[in-house]
Amino acid sequence: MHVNELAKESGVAPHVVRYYTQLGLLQPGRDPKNRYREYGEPDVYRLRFIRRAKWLGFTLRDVKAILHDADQGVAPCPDVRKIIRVRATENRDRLKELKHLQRRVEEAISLWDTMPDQPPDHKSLCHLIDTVAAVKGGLT
Amino acid sequence: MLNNTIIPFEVASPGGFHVAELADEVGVTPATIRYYSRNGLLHAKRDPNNGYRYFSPADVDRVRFIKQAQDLGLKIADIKSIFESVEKGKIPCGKVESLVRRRLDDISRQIKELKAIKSRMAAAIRDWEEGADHSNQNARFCPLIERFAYRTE
Repeated sequence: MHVNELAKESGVAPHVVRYYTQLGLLQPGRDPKNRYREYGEPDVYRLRFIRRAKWLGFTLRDVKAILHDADQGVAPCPDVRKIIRVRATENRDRLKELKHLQRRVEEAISLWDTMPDQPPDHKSLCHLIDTVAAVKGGLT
Repeated sequence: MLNNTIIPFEVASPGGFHVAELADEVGVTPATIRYYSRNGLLHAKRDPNNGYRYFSPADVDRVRFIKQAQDLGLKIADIKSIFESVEKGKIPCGKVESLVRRRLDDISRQIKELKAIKSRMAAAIRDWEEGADHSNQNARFCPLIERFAYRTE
């Protein structure tokens, strides 16, 4: 089947299929008639596996290594157990970072709600942003 | 206080800063300055004597602004469009606020997504600890991932 058929069958966008192919995660042959990429049943399973692994927080690089092991007949389980812990730690750190950012932005917006707009001058492009910096630096 | 009167040891050009000097002045790395320049947020001039790029004192404020805007979650493209409206003589505050609100929505969405992944990961780790490696004939690539996904789908 061609890119669009595989995409439809798997419920992903065609550009996703192309991207995974480019990364070597899917391995289509060529249609000898028109040189189009020709995907087979194994690619349907591979694509399903890639989606599941991503859904569980594995990166595409992880998936590539896992698929490579599996293709070589090596059981990827020990690595999979290790990798997920690393990804879980990264996920926790990223969440923490984003929550800080969220709080900072919410505080800025509620501060701005009390302030008028001001035209920029030579010192300040936008006093809204300056205000946040000043509050953060304790210079109010 | 003397902290605003630092005179660079080597003055780049009359009133100008080289990449490293500008970086030092604002407390970012030279790579950051180059990154901003590459993305069109800073426009260096060329020193005719040696061809080096140099920046004006106004760029110090510009870099500070970029840093602060990034601290509020704004993207390079957002900051670029703020600069553009300033250059057109507009008051950018409304734009700044609507961009920041949009980014706040993105942030909330990302947090939600990461939390969902977090709970799936925790469930998988628990599941895999209990389940040992029982053989699974139906798995093609990795029984851990396939079994877990199948059971929770």
